[in-house]
Amino acid sequence: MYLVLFYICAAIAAVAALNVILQRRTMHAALSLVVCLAALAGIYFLLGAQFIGMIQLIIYAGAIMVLFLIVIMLLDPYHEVFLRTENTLWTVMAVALGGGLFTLLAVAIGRFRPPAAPPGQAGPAAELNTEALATVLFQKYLLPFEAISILILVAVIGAVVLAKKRAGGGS
Amino acid sequence: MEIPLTHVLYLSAFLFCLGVVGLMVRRNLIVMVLCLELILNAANLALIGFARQLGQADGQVLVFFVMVLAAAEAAVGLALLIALERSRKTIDASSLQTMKY
Repeated sequence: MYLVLFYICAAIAAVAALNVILQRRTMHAALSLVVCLAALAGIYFLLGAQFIGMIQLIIYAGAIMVLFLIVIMLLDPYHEVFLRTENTLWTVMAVALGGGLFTLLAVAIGRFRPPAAPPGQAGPAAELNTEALATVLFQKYLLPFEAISILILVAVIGAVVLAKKRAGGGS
Repeated sequence: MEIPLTHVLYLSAFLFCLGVVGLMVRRNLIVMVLCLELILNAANLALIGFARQLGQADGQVLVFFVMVLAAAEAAVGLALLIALERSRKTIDASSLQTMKY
């Protein structure tokens, strides 16, 4: 049952991701990415990461993509010039390179034997609930957590400074 | 019926390669940022898969951090695009070649 749901979600995610790079309209590409992120959230649920799945739906597919859609509405008033590279040779080379990269990764994954859980730790069946996640996040990774809070504060300030109109209308 | 880790990794690799190809093929800067998000999500998927396999929450905490990074990247990147559109009137990567030569 889980496996069937996983394959359905994986197919949706793969097709939506393909649609992101094939779609001519920027808005449609962004909406396609929303579908892909929602399908990935479904996979997170199936993999026992319920909290991360909800975060993915609310923050990623919700907040971040709304930011994208607003900027697209602001910047992309339906002109479709140069949405795609005009250089066919470059496109063919890029697709070949991507295919080669995927082949390389697939061979590596095919030869890969999944590691067993370290001794003394719970195995794959262990429940990774929100409580376990919070314990690790706020004890073992407290310093990185604080550091990344500073990072996002700086990013928000930087975004405001970058996007605001220059005083005096210069440049 | 357990979900095999290798199948999760195949999907992750596929999404990653799609993101890389999209970055190289597309010239619209907004779509290029979307492809960056795709790459970050591929990494997230692999981390969740390994967290499941090892039964440890560390992988999920890393996914949490990657999401915060993605939010910061989206905010700064989109602000840059707005500033770019304001000064150059374009968001086409092919016509922004001042630093190329």
